[in-house]
Amino acid sequence: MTVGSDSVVMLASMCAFFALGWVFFLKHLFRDYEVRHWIVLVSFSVTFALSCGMFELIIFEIVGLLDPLSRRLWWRLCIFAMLILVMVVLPYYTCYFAISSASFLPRRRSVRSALALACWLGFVWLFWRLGDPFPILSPNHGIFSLEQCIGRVGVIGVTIMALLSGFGAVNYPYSCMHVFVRPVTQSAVLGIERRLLQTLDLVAAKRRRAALLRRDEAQSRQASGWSLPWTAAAAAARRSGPTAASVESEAANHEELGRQLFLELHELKTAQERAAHSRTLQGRYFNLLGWVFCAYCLWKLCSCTINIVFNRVGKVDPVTRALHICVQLLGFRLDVQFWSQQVSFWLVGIMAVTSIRGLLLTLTKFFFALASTHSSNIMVLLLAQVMGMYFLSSVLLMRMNMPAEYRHIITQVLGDLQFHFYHRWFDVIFLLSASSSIAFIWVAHKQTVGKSEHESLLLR
Amino acid sequence: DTLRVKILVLGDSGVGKSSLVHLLTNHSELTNPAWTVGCSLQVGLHEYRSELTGQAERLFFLEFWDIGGYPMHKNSRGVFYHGVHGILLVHDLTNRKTELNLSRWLHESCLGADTPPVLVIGAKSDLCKADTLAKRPNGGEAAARIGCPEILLSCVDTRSLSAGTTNAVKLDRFYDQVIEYRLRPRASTPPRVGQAISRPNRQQSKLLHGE
Repeated sequence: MTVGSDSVVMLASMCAFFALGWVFFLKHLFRDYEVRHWIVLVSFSVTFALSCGMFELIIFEIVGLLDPLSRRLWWRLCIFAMLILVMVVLPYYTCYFAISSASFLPRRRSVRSALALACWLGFVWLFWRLGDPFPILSPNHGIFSLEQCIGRVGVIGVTIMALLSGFGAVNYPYSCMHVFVRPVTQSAVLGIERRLLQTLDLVAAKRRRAALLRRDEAQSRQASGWSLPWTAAAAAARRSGPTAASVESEAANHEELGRQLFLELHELKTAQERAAHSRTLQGRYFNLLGWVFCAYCLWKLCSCTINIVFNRVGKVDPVTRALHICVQLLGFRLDVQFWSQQVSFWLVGIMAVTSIRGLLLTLTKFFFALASTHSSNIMVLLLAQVMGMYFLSSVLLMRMNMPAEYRHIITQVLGDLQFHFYHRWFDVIFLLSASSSIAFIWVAHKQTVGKSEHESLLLR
Repeated sequence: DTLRVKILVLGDSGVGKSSLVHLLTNHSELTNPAWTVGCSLQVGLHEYRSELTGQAERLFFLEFWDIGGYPMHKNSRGVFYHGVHGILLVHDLTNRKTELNLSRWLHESCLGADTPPVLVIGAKSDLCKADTLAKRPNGGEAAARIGCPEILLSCVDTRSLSAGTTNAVKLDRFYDQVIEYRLRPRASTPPRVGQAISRPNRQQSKLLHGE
C-alpha cells in the first residue's frame, strides 16, 4: 500500500467523521438555535473529525493497517492541525464573539477584530505562563517547539479529564443506584401543587388590586391635569389606603415564594420519575451498572492514593500484565503476540468509543444548562476547545494502557514528554475531584432527606 | 363584580414573553428582564362590550400567566395548564427554531378536547431585517398551521400597540374572543361513548394528534 492510497483511506474516514460532527451539531446540540456564523459549525466539526481521526490512527497502529510511513505522516498532520485549532482558531473566535456580544463596544468590524486579536495575544501569554510551574521544559527543546505546546495543552486537558472522571465516577453510581432513590408520595406532590396554586391566587388577587389602583391613579392624574409622578403619589397619600406600587411590591414577595415552591415541585417530580424508572427493567440494569461503577470508583481511589503515597510508576501496562498472569500463573498456553494485539485492539477501541460518547453527553448537558440566545456561539466554541484538549490528552494518557510495541509511535509523535508526570498529575486531580464530589453529594443528599422528612411531618 | 380570564403566555426560553406581558399590562418597556422560573402572573384590564346583546361595557381582568420556557422544567409545568381561556404563543423573529417549536407548546398545554382561542406573536421585530418582516404579511408558518392570526411587534417599542394600529385591533379582537370563550355555557354532561365529538377547528385537531 502506497502513501497515496493510504491518504485516500484516511481522507475518506476524516470526511465521514466531519459529516458525523456536522449532523450532531445541527440536529442535537444546536437544535433550538439558528446557525448564523458558519465558522462555529465548521470549527466544531473539524475538531471532532481530528479527535476521531487520532483514535482511528491508534487502532490502525495496533492492527497494523496502512504503511508505517503514512501513519506517521498523518499523525503529525493531525497533531499539528489540532494544535492550530486549540491554540489559534478557537480562542480567537471565542474572543471575537465575546466582544461582539458586549453592547458597549463599537460595532465596526475592524475594531472588533483588533480587540479580538489583543485578547487572543493575552490568552497566548497566559497559556505560556501556565506551563512554567510544571516540568514541561526540557533542556534540549527550543522555546517554540511542538513539545512545549503539547505539554501545556496536555496539562490543561489532563486536568479537565481528571475533574470530569472524578466527578463522574462518584455521580454515576449515586444517580443510578436504588439505595439513594428518595421515595416520594403522590400526596406530597399534590400538597406542593396546591400550595403553589394558592400562592399564585394570592399574587393574582394583589395584582388585580394594583391594576385597579393604577387605573384610578391614571384617571385622577388626567382629571387634575398634573403629569408629575410625585403629585400622583401625594394625592394617593392624601387618600387613605395603599398605592399601586406598595401592593405591587407585596405581590412580588409572594411571587418569590411561588418560585421556591415551583423549584421544590420540580425536585419532587424528578425524584418521582427516578423512582418510577428504577422499577423498570432498564432501571434495574442501570442499578447493576451503578454497583459495578461504585466498585471501580473505590478501586481507582485506592490505586491513586497508593500511587501518590508510594510514588509508584507503572512500568507494565494492564494488557501485558493480564496475559502474564494467564500464562505463568494460570498455566494457559497462549500465543502472547496474537492475544496481546487482540486485547489491545478491543481495549483501546472500547475506551475510545466510551470516552467520545461520554464527553459528548457531558458537553451536551453543560450546553443545554448554560447556553442562551446570546451566548450560544461562545459556549459551543468553548466546548469545542475543551473537546480538543480532552482528546489530545487522552491520547497522551492512553499510551500507558498499550503494550510497549504500540507505544513508541505515540512517543515518537508527541515528542519527548515527561509522561510519568502526566499520570501523577491525573492521579492527584482525580483524587481531589472525587473526594470533593463525595463531600458535596453527601451534603446535598442529607439536605434533601431532611427536607422530605420535614414535609412528611407537615402533612401528618 | 369583575370577572377574570386566564391567558397562558407560552414560548421558548428567551423569546421575550416577560417583556411582552409587561408591555401589555403596564404599557411600558421592561427595563431589567430576568429569567422567569416557574410562572409570573401579571394582570391587565379590558373593557368588553358584547355586540350581540348590546349590553353596557363590562370590565374584565386579564390574568397573563407567563410560564418559564426551560426544557428541564417540563415535568412540573402541567399544574398551570388547567382552566385556561386563551393562549398567546410567542416566538422570536430572529430565530426560526422558536417558531417551529410553537406547535409543541400548543400540544403540551391543551389538555382537553376544546382548544381556547390562540394568538401567535412574533417578538423582537426591531432586531429583524426588514425583508424578513415583509415576507409575512398574513402570518407565518406556525400561525397558518394552527389557524390563528399573528402579530409582529417589538417589546421595547410602546408604539407597536398604540390605539388604532392593526396590532391593537387584532389584540382587542383576541381579548374579545377569550372573554366570549369564558362566558360560553359549558355542556353539563360529558358525551356518551360512541357519540361523535364535534371538533371546533379541523386544523387544531390535526395539530393535537401529533403531526
